[in-house]
Amino acid sequence: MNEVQQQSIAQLIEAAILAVPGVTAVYRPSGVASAIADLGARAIGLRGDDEPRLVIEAVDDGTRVEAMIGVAASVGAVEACRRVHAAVVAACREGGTALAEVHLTVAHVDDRAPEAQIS
Amino acid sequence: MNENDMTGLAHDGFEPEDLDGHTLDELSAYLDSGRTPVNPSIEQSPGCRIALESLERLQRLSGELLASDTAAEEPADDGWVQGILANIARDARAGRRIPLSTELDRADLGITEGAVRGMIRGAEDAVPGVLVGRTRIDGDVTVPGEPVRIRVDASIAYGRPIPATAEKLRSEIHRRLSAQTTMNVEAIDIAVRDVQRLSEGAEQRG
Repeated sequence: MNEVQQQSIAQLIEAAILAVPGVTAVYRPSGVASAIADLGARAIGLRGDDEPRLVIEAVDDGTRVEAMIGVAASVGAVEACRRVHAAVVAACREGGTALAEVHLTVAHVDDRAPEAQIS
Repeated sequence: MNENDMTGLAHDGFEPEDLDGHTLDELSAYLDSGRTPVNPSIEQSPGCRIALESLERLQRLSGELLASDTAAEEPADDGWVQGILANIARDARAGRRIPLSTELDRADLGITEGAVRGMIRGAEDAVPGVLVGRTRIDGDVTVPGEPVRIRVDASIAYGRPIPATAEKLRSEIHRRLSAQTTMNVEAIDIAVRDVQRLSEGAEQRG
């Protein structure tokens, strides 16, 4: 998988995750260092707002996906993750690759978000 | 920092009040502006989102406290508010990654300690007359099934029955943790650290 294909599959998967009812956001990787690096990259035009926020990696048995999400409390973190997993499997299939693993972390549970809210 | 610590603070040397590069003062000013214009750097940080929610609740309560203080015999304790602010910043950081048990194939699911602490803190919205101070999750939460103990410091409004109010808070926290995590919670300890005079509106909120 070359860089363009990787970017394309990442966008496909991110859109699929954001369309999942109960998902309120997809966040960039956590940490002060990465946040400041991200701000710096944006300031000098190296990174755009439309760049995928998840991490895609080609491994031996397909594609590994790493994402950090926000969820609506009304749906629940476990149920939202289950829905996201199904969406990622489908998006990988649509993108012509197999899912090797999805590493999913809930970083925010929003008490006030309705189930259908997406960011 | 171990592999499950998501803050990066141990290596990066940032001060505890930093939240993905922001401070509580910045977040407070952003809240005062009505969150406009939208600051993507803040809105796209889960830690900042958690802290903003806590600050909103605290600001609402502080206003009510100030109003009630004019009639109170003793002035509000500034140290109390400062302590709550410090806890908000501490609790909003990502912290450890807590696994979510699942039968799904090829899935590694988890939730950050910061998200869990934010949920615990949010329980104050459902229990009138309570403000959550510090929250701690004791035990190795990075190991599935490992017993953990939740410790919460809280302030309770003057005049509220302390045991009954603490029990309501404990019950609400248990409900939230059961709904959102697969942690093996063996106990939820509530320590009421102080009693504050709240206005009637503050006590009836939620």
